Amino acid sequence: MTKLDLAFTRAQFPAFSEPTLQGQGFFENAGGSYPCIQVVDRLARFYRERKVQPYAPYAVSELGGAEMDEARLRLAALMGVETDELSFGPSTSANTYVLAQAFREWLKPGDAIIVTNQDHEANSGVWRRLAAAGIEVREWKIDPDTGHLPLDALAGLLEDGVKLVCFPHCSNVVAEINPVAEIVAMAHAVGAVTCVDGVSYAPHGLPDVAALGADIYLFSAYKTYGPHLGIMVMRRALGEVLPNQGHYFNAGTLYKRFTPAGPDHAQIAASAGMADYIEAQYAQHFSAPAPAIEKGRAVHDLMRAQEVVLTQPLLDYLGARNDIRLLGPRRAEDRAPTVAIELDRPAEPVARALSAHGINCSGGDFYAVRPLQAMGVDLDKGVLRMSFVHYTSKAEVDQLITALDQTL
Amino acid sequence: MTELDLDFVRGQFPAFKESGLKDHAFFENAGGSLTCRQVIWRLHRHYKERSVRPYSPYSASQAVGAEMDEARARLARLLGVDTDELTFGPSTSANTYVLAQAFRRMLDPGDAIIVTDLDHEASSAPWRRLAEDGLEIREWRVDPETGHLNIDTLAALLDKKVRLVCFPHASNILGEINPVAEIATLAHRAGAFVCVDGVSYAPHGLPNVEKLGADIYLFSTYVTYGPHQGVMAVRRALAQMLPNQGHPSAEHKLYSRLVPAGADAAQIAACAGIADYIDAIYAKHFKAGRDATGRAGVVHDLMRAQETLLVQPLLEFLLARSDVRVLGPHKAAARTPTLALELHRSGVEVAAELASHGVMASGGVFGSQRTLQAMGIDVEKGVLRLSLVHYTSAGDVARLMRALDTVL
Repeated sequence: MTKLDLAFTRAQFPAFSEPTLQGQGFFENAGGSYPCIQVVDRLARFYRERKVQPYAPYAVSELGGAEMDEARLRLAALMGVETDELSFGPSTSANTYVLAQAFREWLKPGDAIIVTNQDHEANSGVWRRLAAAGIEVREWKIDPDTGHLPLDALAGLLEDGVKLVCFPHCSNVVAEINPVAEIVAMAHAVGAVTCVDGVSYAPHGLPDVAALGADIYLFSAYKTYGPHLGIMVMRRALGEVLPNQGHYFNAGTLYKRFTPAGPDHAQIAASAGMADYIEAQYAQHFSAPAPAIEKGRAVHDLMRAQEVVLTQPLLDYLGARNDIRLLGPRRAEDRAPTVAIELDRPAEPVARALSAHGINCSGGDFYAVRPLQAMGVDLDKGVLRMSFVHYTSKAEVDQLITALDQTL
Repeated sequence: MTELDLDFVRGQFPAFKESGLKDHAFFENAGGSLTCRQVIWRLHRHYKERSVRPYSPYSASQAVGAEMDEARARLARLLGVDTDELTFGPSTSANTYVLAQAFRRMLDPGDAIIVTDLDHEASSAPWRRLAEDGLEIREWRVDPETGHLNIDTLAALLDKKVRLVCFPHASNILGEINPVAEIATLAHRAGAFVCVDGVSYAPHGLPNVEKLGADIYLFSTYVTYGPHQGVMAVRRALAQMLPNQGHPSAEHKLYSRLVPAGADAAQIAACAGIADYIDAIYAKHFKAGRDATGRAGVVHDLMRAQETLLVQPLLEFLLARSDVRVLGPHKAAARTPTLALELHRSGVEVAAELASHGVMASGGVFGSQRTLQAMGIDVEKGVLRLSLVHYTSAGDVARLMRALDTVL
């Protein structure tokens, strides 16, 4: 099987040649990845050359508009959805906030929604607030030992009246990859739609959203090598019935219905660089011409394979220590390389100590208060989180293990 | 009186050297200004050198956090408010949408909100939609001839049911500068808060929010020489009263309470470049020591004086034509230099023709359908909008007048 060309990959990220970041092992990718050169260049070009209102009838404006259209079209194709099913909002938190308002208007008192206690607060708090509007909110609970979301527990909650199931593709602290297609099938079987938070998954490979079957799939571009935007896939059937939250005169345009925020032209255009990056990876590693969705899948598998190889030794090292508690699965295949550990002391000072060893990571609750509480983690202590992606090197993981050995 | 050094000013905007822009005259500033070099430099530095999550315990991350804090502190001082009264959100539309949700939860059925038909739709629609939640929406209407908002009309709408008055500092098509302080005093006397949309005003000089007496003042940085953010000054008394719309941990952080969206670290940090720009203009033109609010005040006056000088001949040129209806005040001092013209044919069509003369402008309704309809203008035809700022040159204006002479 083709292996990821790491030198090529790292050459796509200016941060790796930035003098002040030399020798720094970057293990806070789950808080925001490094941006790829294709995005950095497009963003800089937009601000220097095309920073005008797009879609006006003069050349630079038309270029700006065309670049925004290109970004939407190419990213949608990589994820197997129609161009107008993809929209750019300010952030995933902003997008879920708006979606919750739309569902508030659409659902009737007595209808039920399901949320989990595995989610980041962004895909949880806004939905739970719907209780104030008379919506019944049911919680799908994780196993307190493992953080796992058991499917049979969901089955017990999916009774009459459930209209929506919100869950993460993968949690930002437990990191277990949930079986999205299976969960979606269960929800659809009782007539409920699904909203999947993919923020902690997408950086590890863009998903084929059509294959997952999710009605809404959300992720954050700034954690996926891009600029600061929230990308929202809204499948047509649901998008057309949920009440429009944008301008009334835009109600007929699917990708404008749930983004009341004004579009950030420069960053939307720069998102085309995310597609450039995936295409560049494909071109570097594969020769056969293929449709976008297949390129997306091939690069996804390439990234995941690399991560799995890299993650297993860290999991083995952490699993062998009896002074820490490793959250989530022990098998690298079952999880994202976002590794949270509970220590016998507060995590933040440990992160600070690690930074002296050139390890950049952090400690805290990462807005995952609910899963941490459910797993019995003391919030004042928090967890130490080390997160990496496909561009991380084996040497950096070794550096991390050595630093942990000296610090813990 | 000190005059604006135009060469210096234009030297701060890299766009004037770009091939696609330097041979053109830019008259679509109201849709997004050019970006000053200080902002571009900071934004690019962030993406190349320190694109990491802020406020974590390692040096790149702390540099980001410090730059975000700097942006908030410096802009707040320029606007005459406390640091924690200044909030960065994704855009003014997003901010207004969230504010409306917060007021929805704070107000009781039967309470009234006053909106105008002079506002951009994004500043009006979220408030109008609260009618569905049992709030009474009253409309302060413009004079159909002049587009003027009459204070006496407002006085008649105010009673003790009114809790909030929303209005623009200046309209994005009529340009008339509304007497904010007078309106705020009137509203406060009736026990109502005021929410002022400053998007179309702030590019012409940052206001002193304290002196205006606004409880909420909103503007967009991408129209004000900066990156794509919405700045929201919310005075303490009101900010503490509105229910938290952010993460539960934002409850006691004034500047996070009204932002459910995740912070765009790069763009917030780059907003410090707007303060750099104001200070650079100040340093170029004045010697006396002044505090930030004082510097902003004189730079405001310097910009306004330059604009007024520039736009008066253009107004006179247009007023002398019988085939053009100039909307809004005929005196430059009473308005921003954003001119909307009703023509015998479509604004979009004329803008396209101007483009071939090197004039970048745009036609349409600009989100101001309500105002145009109130003034009896066919929205299908729309208007031609010509918008200048302080960096526009007399040469640009002369070129515009020649192009208009040919096209009209």
